[in-house]
Amino acid sequence: MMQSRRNKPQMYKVGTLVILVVLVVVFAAPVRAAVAGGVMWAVEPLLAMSRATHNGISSFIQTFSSTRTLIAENTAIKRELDDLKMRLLDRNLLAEENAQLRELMGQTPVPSGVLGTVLSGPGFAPYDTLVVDAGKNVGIQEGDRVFIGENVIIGRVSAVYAYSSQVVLLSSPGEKSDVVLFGGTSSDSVVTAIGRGGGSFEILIPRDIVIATGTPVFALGTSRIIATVEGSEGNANDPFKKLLLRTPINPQSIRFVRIVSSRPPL
Amino acid sequence: MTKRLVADALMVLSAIFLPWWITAPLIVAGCMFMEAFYEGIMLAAIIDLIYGTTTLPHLTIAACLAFLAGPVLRERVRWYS
Repeated sequence: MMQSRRNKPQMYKVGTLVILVVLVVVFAAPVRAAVAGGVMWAVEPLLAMSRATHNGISSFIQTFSSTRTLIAENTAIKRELDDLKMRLLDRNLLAEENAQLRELMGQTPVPSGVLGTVLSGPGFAPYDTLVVDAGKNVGIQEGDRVFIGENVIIGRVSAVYAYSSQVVLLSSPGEKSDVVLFGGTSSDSVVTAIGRGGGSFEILIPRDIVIATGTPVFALGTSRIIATVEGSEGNANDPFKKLLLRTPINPQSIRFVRIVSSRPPL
Repeated sequence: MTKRLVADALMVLSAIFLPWWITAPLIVAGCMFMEAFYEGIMLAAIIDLIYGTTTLPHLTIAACLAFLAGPVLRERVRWYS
């Protein structure tokens, strides 16, 4: 007991030293980058294992879903699929026409990007970030843009490690993105969307502008969708209102992403 | 000592395999029930290094506060069995 009491101040001295070292590591950028690289090297295989375990557990649980629920889900999915097929038909025609026009203008689109598997994302991690299994080994660089599918932009690469990289979602709290709003009562407007976390954004616009729910919002200078309009909030006395946006896909359910280089092609 | 090592191992596993909202209360509980639980701060810093951006490392700061508040709370809280 006496020995334990004598050890107490010693333990807290070590604790204080640990706090100081940890604070230096997490706040000093060069030290942080070096340590994070080492930590990611060690942790990346474990995160991949963790992801595989989660997928295994969730598919095991799904086998116990009731037949009635599965039938209802199946019917709903079939209905949605039919609807999407119709839309896709229209989209394919437009895409073909677009490609032909681009070819006429001498702009041949080159498919680009690296496919990455998401090792962890929001919900599992305390921040609105993704850890992706593509890093320096496949030429990823800081600032590269991250997409889901071809047209939905969801974030940018914020840190690159040897075999993995970290992606900050555009919807991270406080993250600012310049976007273009179409379909308002006035002409198209360029505004700044501020991330609110969890796949949502807010935009401050004059109260008189009316924008329909479901309207897509595009990243400035591109034809890439960032989010769709979900609704608005504000009171009658305020000249501005908050337009609430939501990413087309729930960030917690992202499994694969496409990382596109931000460098201009040679 | 064995108890502490087992707790440390469980926390490392929880940081890798379980969501952060399970690991964070475990770190706070560790600070409450164990003497000078500085492993908790290190674990929180590792989670911040993996998932956090260069902005404020919330989890590390929370773990530091729990580390400092742990002994005070332990002395003031009375447990009845």
